[in-house]
Amino acid sequence: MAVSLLDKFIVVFALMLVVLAFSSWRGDSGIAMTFEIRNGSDATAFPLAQDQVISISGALGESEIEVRDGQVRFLRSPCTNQFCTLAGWLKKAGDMAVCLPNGVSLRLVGGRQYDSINF
Amino acid sequence: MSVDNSSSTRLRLQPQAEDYLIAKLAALAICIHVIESALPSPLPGVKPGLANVITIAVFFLYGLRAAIWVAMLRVVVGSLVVGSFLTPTFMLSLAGTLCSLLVLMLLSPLRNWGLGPLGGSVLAAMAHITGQFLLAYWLILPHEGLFVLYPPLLALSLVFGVITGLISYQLLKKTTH
Repeated sequence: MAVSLLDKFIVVFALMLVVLAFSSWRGDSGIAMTFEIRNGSDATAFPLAQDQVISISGALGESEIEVRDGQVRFLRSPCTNQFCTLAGWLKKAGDMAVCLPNGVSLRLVGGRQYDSINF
Repeated sequence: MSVDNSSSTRLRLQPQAEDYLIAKLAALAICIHVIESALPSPLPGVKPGLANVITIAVFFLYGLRAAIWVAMLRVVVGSLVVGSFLTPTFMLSLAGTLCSLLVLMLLSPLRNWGLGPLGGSVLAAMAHITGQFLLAYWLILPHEGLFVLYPPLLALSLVFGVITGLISYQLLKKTTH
């Protein structure tokens, strides 16, 4: 009995199973068709299919939101920390980016959304 | 009406040598299980499963039947000692153990092809967590969101499977020389 070749194959195989599990079960495989911009209490939906740059006015000024190739991001924002722009491209349903100082948030809509799990 | 009480019809059960062996191995597994359940774990309900070192070693030393006995005794008696018999925890443990034993049964022929404690332990550990998730989905939390937890716990079961497999391997090296 030793750590045989078969054992090593099994460990590699098991690693592949784990990777497979991560890629199929990571959240919900929702394809987003629209995204939603919230400005305070106003929420507007936009299609992801149309490439454009949208300007939203918030508490601090104008946030620019870019839509390209079915993805969305904060292009520019008047906040100091720039967490929103640093979030980068939003791709999957449920992905979100928020500019709290300016009061603007982006969210991709689609798939099944889990708010919480209750009995 | 007469009742025949002659001793020739009375059944006597004598423990065989195999029974003593299984009992000793199961007792060892139960002790490890109980001690390990006293240790704190960062994630609730997630344990390295060190008692499985015994189960896997038994599988390779004494075969599948012995491993099944030791594993099932460990689950039932371990839960009696810890006080979780027939609780949902016990059900999860039982489901996991049954699945890992099923996998060991399916892997049995591979022993001739070089299957060792490392490989057996890894696949049994992953079967264990999978069985627990299936039971949890069926009886406890029938919501697909449950499976969001599956990939990280599966990865963890691979890690712990490797660890217990390596310990088992060292144990077998020392006992078969």
